[in-house]
This record gives sequence, C-alpha cells and structure tokens, in this order.
Amino acid sequence: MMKMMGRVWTAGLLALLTLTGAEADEYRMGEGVQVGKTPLYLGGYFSLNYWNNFKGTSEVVVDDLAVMLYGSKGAWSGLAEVEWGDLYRKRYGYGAQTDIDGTPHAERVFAQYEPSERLQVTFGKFNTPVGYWNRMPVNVLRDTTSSPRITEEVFPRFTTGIDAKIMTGIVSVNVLIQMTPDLDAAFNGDNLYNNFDIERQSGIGVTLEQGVWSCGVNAGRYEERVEEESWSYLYASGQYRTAQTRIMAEAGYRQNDDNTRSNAGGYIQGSQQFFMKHYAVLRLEYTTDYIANSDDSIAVVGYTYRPLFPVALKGEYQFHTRENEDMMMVSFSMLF
Amino acid sequence: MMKQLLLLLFTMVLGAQEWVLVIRSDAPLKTLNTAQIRDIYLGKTRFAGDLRLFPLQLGADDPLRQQFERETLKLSRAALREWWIRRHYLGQRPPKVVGSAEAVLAYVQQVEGAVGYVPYYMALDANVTVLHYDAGGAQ
Repeated sequence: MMKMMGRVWTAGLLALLTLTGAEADEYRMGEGVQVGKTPLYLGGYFSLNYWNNFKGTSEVVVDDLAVMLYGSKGAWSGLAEVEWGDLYRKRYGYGAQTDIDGTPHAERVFAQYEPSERLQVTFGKFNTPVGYWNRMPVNVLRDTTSSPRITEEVFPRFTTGIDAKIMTGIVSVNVLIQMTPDLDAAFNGDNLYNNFDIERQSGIGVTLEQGVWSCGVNAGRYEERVEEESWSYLYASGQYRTAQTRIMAEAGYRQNDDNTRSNAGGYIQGSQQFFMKHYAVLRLEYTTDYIANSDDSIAVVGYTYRPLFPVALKGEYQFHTRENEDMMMVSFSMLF
Repeated sequence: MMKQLLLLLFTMVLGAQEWVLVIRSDAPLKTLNTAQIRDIYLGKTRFAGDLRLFPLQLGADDPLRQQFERETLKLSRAALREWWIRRHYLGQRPPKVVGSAEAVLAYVQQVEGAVGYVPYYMALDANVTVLHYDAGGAQ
C-alpha cells in the first residue's frame, strides 16, 4: 500500500512534466517553467557530490534529485516537492560498497494562506523556520557543499504541522506546532525524511530585519518517536548581507528532559563574490557531540564557480580538530 | 500630441526617462516612496493594507526597465536574477513581464492591485492613479 501510494505520488508529479510546453512563460534556467497557461510552475534541483579524506576513503553521491511544483491564486499558494535523496552512493576504500535508493520522499508539501501583509499561515510539511541555513538548504543555493553541523543537530529540519507568522514592520513572530508523524511516513513508513524521527513539536521564533541586517531567536520542543525522548532547544542567528558580501552566524543548544544529554555549537561564515562568477567562503564552526563525547572545531575554506547563478561547481576543504576527519569535498549542483 | 513628442525627444536626448508608477484609479493606495516600490518589486511586500499587489515589469531589453532596475531597485541584472532564483526555491515568482508600456496601462486599469511603471507622458491622459513620480537620472 505504501509503495503504491509512493508510485502514485511520483507519477502524478512527473506527469505534469508532459503538460509543460507551448504558450507558457519563456523558460530561464533556475526560475522554473510554467505549466501550460496554468498558474503552476515546475522546477527542481540536482546535486552530485564527491568527498575524499586522503586516508584511503572516498565517496561519490547523487545527493539530491528533486522535482517541485508550486503556484498561487489570490491569498493562497502551495508547493509540493518530491525528492530522491542518496539516489546513488558509491564508497571507495574502507567500507567500500554501492547503494542505490530509488525511494521518492515528500520533501515539502504545503499550502500557505496570506490574507494580508500581517499574517501568513502555512500548513503541511515545510522547512522548519529556524535560522537562515535551514530555510534554503539545497546545495546549489548554499555557500558550501557541506552544511554546518549545528544546523542538523539541534532542531528538526522539517515540520509537518502548522506555522502562523505575524508580521509588523521590521519584526515578525512565528508559532509552529506539529501533532502527527512526518508526512513522509504516509508514503514510506519508517523510512523517514527528516533528521529526527518526531511526532510532536512546538516552537516560537522572533525575527528582526532592518536593511542589510537581520537576526532571529527561536525556541522549541520536540519528542522523538522511537526513543520517546523529549528535547528543548534554543537557537540564535544573525546576518549581514549585501549584493557581494554575506556574513552569517548561528548558534544553538539542546537538552533532553532528563537533563542527561545535551549538545551545542555554532558557526560564523563569511562569503564574498570576487569577479563576476567566483565566490570565496570561510566558515568557522564549533560543535559538541555527546555520543562521541568529544568536541570539534572546524575551519572550512571553500570556493564556488557559478557559470550561471543556478549552476554551481564547488570545492571545499575542512580542517577538523577531531582526529582523522579532515576532508575535501567537491560538488556539481544545479537548479532548474 | 505635440507635448508628448517633445517629452519623448527630451528623454531620448538625455538617455533617461521620466516615469511614473501607476495603479487603477479606484485603488485605496495613493502614494509610494522609492523604498516601498523596491520592496514590492523584490517580493518583500505583497500587500498594501489588505490589497494584494501584482507588480508588472517591461521586457528585459526595454530601456525604462533597465533604468528602473539600476536607479530604483539599485541592483544589477545578475543580482536580480540571483534574487529571484532563490525565491523560486520558496515558490515565489518575479514580477509579471508585460510586452509594452501600453500593455502595462491596460493591465493596470483592468486588474485590481496591479502596479506598473510607464513613461510619464503616457500616464498624462490615462485613467490611473500615479503612486510615484521619478524625474529620471541618478537620484
């Protein structure tokens, strides 16, 4: 039954590909294509990654292949995105193996109601609105192939529930709640598509934006489904952004209800466009790991070449204080 | 007619046009400043009170669009492309492209909430509300 639903879901989205064509807006790479003369747009993204630790292990991964469909009508808008994550993974050297996973996942499926400039309500499955990195987490739009550890270790990356955002001038406040398992469970059972297997979550966030500066604070709680462990988190973020320069920082802390486990960390990252299509990135990270019972400080030096903005060739080198974790990563990614 | 031709000649000599941002004459909105226009054309502001706004833009090669992007949005074409590519991931679209200033006026008059920029001389006799006037050239 689950497999059947998954196939129907995938076939439905892919069938829309055949509807795109004549009389639609002119296509420009990275901006999606209009589905005929409907108010719907179809797009997607793709990422091919390679890493090598220069200690005998390397890996090639087709990390993301996603198709998304969205549109708006009046105060309503919606977006559905299906993704094949880890579609192909081949490891060389230590632990050599090849994995192919053709399972489509519900990455984001949500409707949004925005009746005025003061209120926006989102319901379905969406990126949890915490920090900056998690709101735009696809490789081609990120500054580096890797993501800062803290963005994956403190709060659930996705929410299946409802988020209400109230906007007043430079300040916006959002409240979110989740009372069900991840939406992807309806299609893939326990093969979930989230960094934490949760079924209950709540959170609140405040964001301030003034010109090129913005900052935010988030707090929340969630309950892991299998371990039945509850966590609370606090997260802070800030950003300075101009056309060529971006400096961003995020820091977070989480703790379980028993007060027996916690982890924390943060990063500060600067990226600078130099010449037309070239970008340099430097990121400094710190993270704790309660499982390994060790800390890690990471320096990431990266370079990105974008022949067109929606196409990125990236290279980065990570220096870790934790032993044997230095690595080089390169990727090719695109948005279409 | 003679006045319009003289204005057109004047703007051709200077290389920058006087333009206005217009909305349907029965709209509750009466004025916008440059910062508000910028927010509307970057999709940051989608409402004026409870009125949903639909910004319109001219074709990519239109000199008035190039002037508008350079002097009002203060962004290069490449930077604007980057902006809207990021918004595409969020399910948002750039302003609708309309083929000519005449078409902008027609669209604005018919669709509630539509706003568009046109050469000043074209708005003189049109049944629209001028939200903003720009004399052209660097500000």
